[in-house]
Amino acid sequence: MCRGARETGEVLNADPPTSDANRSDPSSVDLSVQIPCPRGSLELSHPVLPASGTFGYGEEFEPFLPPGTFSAIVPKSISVEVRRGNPPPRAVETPAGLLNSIGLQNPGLDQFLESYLPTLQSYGVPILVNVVGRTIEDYCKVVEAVEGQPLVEGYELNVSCPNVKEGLLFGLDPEATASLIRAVRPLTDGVLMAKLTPNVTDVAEQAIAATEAGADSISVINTLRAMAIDWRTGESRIGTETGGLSGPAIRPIALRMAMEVCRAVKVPVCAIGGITCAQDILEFASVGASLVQVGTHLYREPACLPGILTELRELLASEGYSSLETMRGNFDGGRYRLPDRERPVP
Amino acid sequence: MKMPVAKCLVDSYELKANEDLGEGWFRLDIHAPEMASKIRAGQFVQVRVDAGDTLLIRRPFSVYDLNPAPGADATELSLLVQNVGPGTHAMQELRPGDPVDLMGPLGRPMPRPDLAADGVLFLVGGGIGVAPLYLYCRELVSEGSTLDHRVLLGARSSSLLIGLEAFEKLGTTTHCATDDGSDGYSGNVIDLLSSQLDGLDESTPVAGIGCGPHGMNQALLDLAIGRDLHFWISLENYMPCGFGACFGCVIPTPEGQEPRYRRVCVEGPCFPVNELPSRL
Ligand SMILES: Cc1cc2nc3c(=O)[nH]c(=O)nc-3n(C[C@H](O)[C@H](O)[C@H](O)COP(=O)(O)OP(=O)(O)OC[C@H]3O[C@@H](n4cnc5c(N)ncnc54)[C@H](O)[C@@H]3O)c2cc1C
Ligand SMILES: Cc1cc2nc3c(=O)[nH]c(=O)nc-3n(C[C@H](O)[C@H](O)[C@H](O)COP(=O)(O)O)c2cc1C
Ligand code: FES
Repeated sequence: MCRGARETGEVLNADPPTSDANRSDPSSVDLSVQIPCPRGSLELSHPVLPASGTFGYGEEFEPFLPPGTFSAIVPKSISVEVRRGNPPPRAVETPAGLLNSIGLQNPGLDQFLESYLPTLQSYGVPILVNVVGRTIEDYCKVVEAVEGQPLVEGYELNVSCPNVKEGLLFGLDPEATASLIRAVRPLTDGVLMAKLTPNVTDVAEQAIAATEAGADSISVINTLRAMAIDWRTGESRIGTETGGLSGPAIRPIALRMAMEVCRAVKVPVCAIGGITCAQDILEFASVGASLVQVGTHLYREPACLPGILTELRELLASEGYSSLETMRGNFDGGRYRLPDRERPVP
Repeated sequence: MKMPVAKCLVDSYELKANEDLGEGWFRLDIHAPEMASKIRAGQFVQVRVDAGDTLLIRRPFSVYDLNPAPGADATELSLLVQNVGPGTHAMQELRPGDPVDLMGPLGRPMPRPDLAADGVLFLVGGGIGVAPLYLYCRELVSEGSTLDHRVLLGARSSSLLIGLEAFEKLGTTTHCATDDGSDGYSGNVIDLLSSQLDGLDESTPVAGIGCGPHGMNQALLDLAIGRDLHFWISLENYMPCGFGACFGCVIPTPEGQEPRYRRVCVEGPCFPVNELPSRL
């Protein structure tokens, strides 16, 4: 009942150790990441961020580690209005996963500015404010109100909600996603990141629409629509019929989607989905991701980050890499691709 | 100025003993000095039951006992566990010397009601709910409290009155109720509480803390609201994180108050009945 071998850096079925000549010094391995944006470039000391909604507003992690250990903070989604969230029960464990229906409970824009933002700023690292809305105007209102605040270096737009006004589904319809990005783009010269839903047939199409409309980065994936029921009572195990699935169970799907997005766009991609250790991060980097977010795993190991960073450096050094950037994208997809596929069919 | 934040530990500790108590119940004694010295009755720990990913989420358990005594000198903590599923099954398989991965202390301690010297404090437990109540009694004893406190334990049958002996050894006045009448009061523990309340002088100040399965908690809530009693109820909602980050363990505010969902793990797990909704 201790942490798994995967998490402690023990490499299972590892290849024979590479020769010492190949090995570089772990402490000198460069993990930094740049995200170009109209303002210039946001430089992060390493690629690991917390996933929105799993890190609260930072404060909840203070008992475990300085929240500023993350290279940037992505707080829980903020909407203009206060959201109460969904009725309980709101979560249930599924095999290697967690099914939730929190319902984007959040204190709303005013409370965020007054009570939560000052605490987030006290951590001293860039903040990427995660925004959710029902209309384009909702998103714009939040961005306008937060823009210019110290350490707010950008936004992660949670584009996976129904647009009640225009009857479109942001994140499901590339045109709706694009019009949202186009509307927000003039309001900030910081990083504009579009967080895409995996509940589409072609995630790359969404990513292309978002970047063509001006997004500086794409984050994938949000939770997968899923359900868990009790056949005896004929009831859902959560308070809503379906919920969002996260955790290691979704990692292989997230990896495939991250690869598809990395192939489709040139901007830095932030991979999310079931990440628990440095090995997982390197798999996402291998398909081209520049950044990652850790979500559900933080619930069981809230203080995991320092260990993950050490292991990341050690693993890169053991393969002779001097930086994460030099290893990124080493997955050779070309050799598996059929000649008639320019982009893999989803 | 912000208050300094109490540190929460996440570490691997050594199992000292695993005592089988019968009926699927067992007690784990864990050597965890840094953690044990900080824990107060009513607080809980999250146990990582799987080193891999199969059982993803930690399981929450109230701390049952601290040794050699609750307080700064405690080096060992005990959990009283009922095997109800895969996670608790894995815990039952643990042997002395095995590592146990704990996160804690979590949640708020159980309150100390402000009772006059002639007051009576009822501690009402059902099933695994006895765990935090036992540590609470141990704290009262080690503080030399003279408060008249009475433990009422309920179970389906006498063989399921786990923990009864420990309370008796502590010298706590303990009454039990069994559904089948095999020990003590014949009926449920809430009816026993009712009859005890009826036996008290009208002017006796009364307070209480309850911790049990959902049905017991609901019956206690109904009784406490009906009789206007100063009671607290400790809830055991499903808890994905246990430290306030996920908003997964919430309960609504009572009817008539500003509608809002509160996190049981950080604002509780023990709530005064006037802060609970009428249906738990
Ligand atoms: C604050 C708190 C304190 C607790 N203290 C104790 C204790 O001292 N001793 C003890 O034996 N148990 C305690 N529990 C309950 C314990 O956490 C669950 O029994 C355990 O998580 C079950 O895990 P499992 O994998 O064995 O079973 P699962 O397969 O996960 O569940 C089996 C059954 O237990 C129920 N269950 C699952 N998780 C919880 C939960 N978090 N709370 C209540 N029921 C649950 C499920 O609905 C299901 O019916 C406590 C729970 C909370 C929230
Ligand atoms: C309980 C919970 C709440 C979440 N809340 C949000 C949210 O408010 N906004 C958001 O963009 N994503 C939210 N997510 C999705 C995560 O940010 C992440 O995309 C997803 O969980 C996959 O990563 P993981 O497997 O590492 O958890 C939430 C996830 C969980 C488990
Ligand atoms: S269990 Fe996560 S907020 Fe309470």
